[in-house]
Amino acid sequence: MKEEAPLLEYNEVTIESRGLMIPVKLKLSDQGIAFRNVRTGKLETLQCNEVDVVNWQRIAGEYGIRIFASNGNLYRFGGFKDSDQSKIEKYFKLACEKTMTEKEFSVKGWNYGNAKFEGGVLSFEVSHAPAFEIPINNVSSCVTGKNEVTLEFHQHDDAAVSLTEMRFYIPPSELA
Amino acid sequence: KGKKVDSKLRKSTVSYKSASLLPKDSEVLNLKLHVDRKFETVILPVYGLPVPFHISMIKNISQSVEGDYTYLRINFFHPGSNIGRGEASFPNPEAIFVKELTYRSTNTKEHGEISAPSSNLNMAFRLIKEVQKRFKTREMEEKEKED
Repeated sequence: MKEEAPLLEYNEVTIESRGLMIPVKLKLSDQGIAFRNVRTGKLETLQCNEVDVVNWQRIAGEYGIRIFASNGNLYRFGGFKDSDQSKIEKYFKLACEKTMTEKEFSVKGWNYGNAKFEGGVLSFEVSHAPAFEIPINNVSSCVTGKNEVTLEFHQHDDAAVSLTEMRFYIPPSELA
Repeated sequence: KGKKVDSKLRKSTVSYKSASLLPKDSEVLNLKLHVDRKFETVILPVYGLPVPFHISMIKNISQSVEGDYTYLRINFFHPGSNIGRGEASFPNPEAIFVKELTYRSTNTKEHGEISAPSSNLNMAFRLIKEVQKRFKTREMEEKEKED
């Protein structure tokens, strides 16, 4: 007999939104993934068949779940403990038939690498591991100049510190 | 002596050998700017992730106050920018470089806050300068020993 997927509820976790970790209540059940914004009460859901990739990753200094959806959107939940990993891994295995792998991010501290696009996500990779990811819907404008690209970002008024602009140097060969 | 400096590549120092070495400071957890003096690294929040940048990658920084906000701009070394004494070449000329990051913070203190959010940018500005100065002094001393 097939083992049933566990029901997991996390009432004190967060979701990344425009650079801010927003408190949500997350429920992982055989119905899929549901998360409710604690402040607004807004409920969002994801079905298993919408999950393309699921990872366990470092986020906001702690651990979290990274879901790359088949529509190209990125969902990242934070505020988890080390000990949550195996339970969540089991959930995705049984409910969604997905293997939750660990996604390592570069901590080398280098400012040069490679920019890759996948779905709605720009990933900056430093020697084969991403250093950071930018969900493209945060970009308010993109300007290209000589050997450079400037991204400006939508601002979140609730954030204590927010990233407003990022400028890249693009080598001449890339522009050719 | 001679011109051997020309062939010397700009060395890239690694900030952390593993993610477990990243400081668990409240600034890091709360996605603020943090300066790790021990590892000479600046940790900058980028969409949920605290991202380390080694002090040797930073060319210069500037701060400005515009209206209710403080801005901190961090300029990184990249090809085409003057990389200082030695004019060493970059290890990877085909790479894309993060050239500049700008952060913004409000100067207005909310009710109940001890200090305005922009104090984080002020502190980062001061500490980056301090660590940069220490790093440059040491680099120069090492160069003098080599010569």
